[in-house]
Amino acid sequence: MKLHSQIALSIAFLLSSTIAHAQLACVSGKSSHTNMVLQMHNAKSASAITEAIYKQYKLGTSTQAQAGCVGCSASVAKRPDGIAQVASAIEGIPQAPKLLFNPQCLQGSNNFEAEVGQVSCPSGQRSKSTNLCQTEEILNYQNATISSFISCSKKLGLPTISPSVLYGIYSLESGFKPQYSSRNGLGMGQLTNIFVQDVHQKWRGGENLRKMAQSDLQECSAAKILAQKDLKSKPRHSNSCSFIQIGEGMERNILYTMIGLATSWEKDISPKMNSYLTKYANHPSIEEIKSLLMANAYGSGGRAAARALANRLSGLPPEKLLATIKKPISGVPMRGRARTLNGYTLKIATRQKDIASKLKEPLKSAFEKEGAKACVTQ
Amino acid sequence: MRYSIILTALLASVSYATTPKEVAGIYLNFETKKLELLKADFDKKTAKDKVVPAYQALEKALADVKNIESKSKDDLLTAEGNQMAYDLEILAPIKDLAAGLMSKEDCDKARHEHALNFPVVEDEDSTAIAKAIDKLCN
Repeated sequence: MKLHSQIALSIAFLLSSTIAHAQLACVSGKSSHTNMVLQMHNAKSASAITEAIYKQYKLGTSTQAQAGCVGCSASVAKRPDGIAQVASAIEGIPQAPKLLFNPQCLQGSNNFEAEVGQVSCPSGQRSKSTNLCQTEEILNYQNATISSFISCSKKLGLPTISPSVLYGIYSLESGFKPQYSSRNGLGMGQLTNIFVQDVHQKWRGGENLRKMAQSDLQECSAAKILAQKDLKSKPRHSNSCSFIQIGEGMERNILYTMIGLATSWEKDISPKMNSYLTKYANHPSIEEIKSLLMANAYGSGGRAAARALANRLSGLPPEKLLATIKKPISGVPMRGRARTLNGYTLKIATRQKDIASKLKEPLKSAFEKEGAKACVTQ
Repeated sequence: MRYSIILTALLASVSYATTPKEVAGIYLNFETKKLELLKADFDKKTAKDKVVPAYQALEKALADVKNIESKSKDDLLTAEGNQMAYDLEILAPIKDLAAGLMSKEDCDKARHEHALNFPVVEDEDSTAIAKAIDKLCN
């Protein structure tokens, strides 16, 4: 790049960051900690993945008002759903697909704070004293990215988790904070190294990654870019920003969660429950059961615990199974502690109770009544 | 080793009041056999004959517990049955390895499956299983 264009870019960058800082309204974090806001800004102008997601969900246009409109103009944001749809029809703009979650729910979850490090990108610097500002625009973009990858997975016929349970996973793992990094986990889904390896193993998640890379579906336009890139060169878990930075890393984090969940269902859980799934294929609770078992395999308890849980519960009829899985299912205490096979789903349930208090009416009452299902728009 | 068995026996004897005595007995035997399997002297040549039947005996023990549980009125899931189901899962990579050709690919799979079983915290079992896999793969 020539010197004068580099200078021009730097001036534009400095100007935009100054403007962003002046106008920043953080949902969480400090307005002076602008690293993520700058990541978002750069991704919008330089990332093909971000461009594909913005295009797919028409982010920043009036049609996104239908999903509660965060990150778009205030005048449009105030329009009720019906009016927004009429407005978009008059304006001749096609309706965007709905975002998966009510934006208020992401904001409610985002108020959660954990004593973990936060990673700034692209430097990869990790600090516990940093509290990066997260804006409505970033949350809206996460919402669109999740929506895009779920929609792609469904179209490809991959097993998908119910959105309400997925909301529970992200609320527990990071509170939708892509910059979070614990000792073993990275980013929104707190991906561990072995989880990342699993996505790439040819006898495990590799097949699903390849399906995404080879897809020509419109719903998979963003996922395809990432999958193709990663099949050429496997990202390293030790490079934190590969799973955190907005524009590629955060999106990869979400994509790998989708692929990892699908893989654990196909390879770990479903084989333990074949006859059960056939017997109760049309039962109204079967999808909820599948999602809870899938989520449990995602947790830090490990796949052995998840498979053992499936083994133990597969003798119970669906109603009884659903009631049982909501209580601790533990092994024999050893040195005063017993392993709980469903510890992860129990933790999700506990976090959900905390989130309800962060929401405003009427969503709060709906959340208290039906849990995270109240957050799902589709 | 001896300490572990005594501790397990003590814990099993005072564990859940809802656990039928038969289940506690089966579990105690299961735990002893499991520890024997982990400490067993096997190599690539003898693994199939030593590991696979031992694992099948453990599976049979869980089936026996499930059978007892199924006779209870309230769909009882005993702590012993839960523990046995978990132990069988963590031992599965050794059994799969022993039952196969123990090729490099088989070894990669076994190590990967083992790592998935213990993504965050390792414990005594995890270390013993990793050693057993190494015994068949190195």
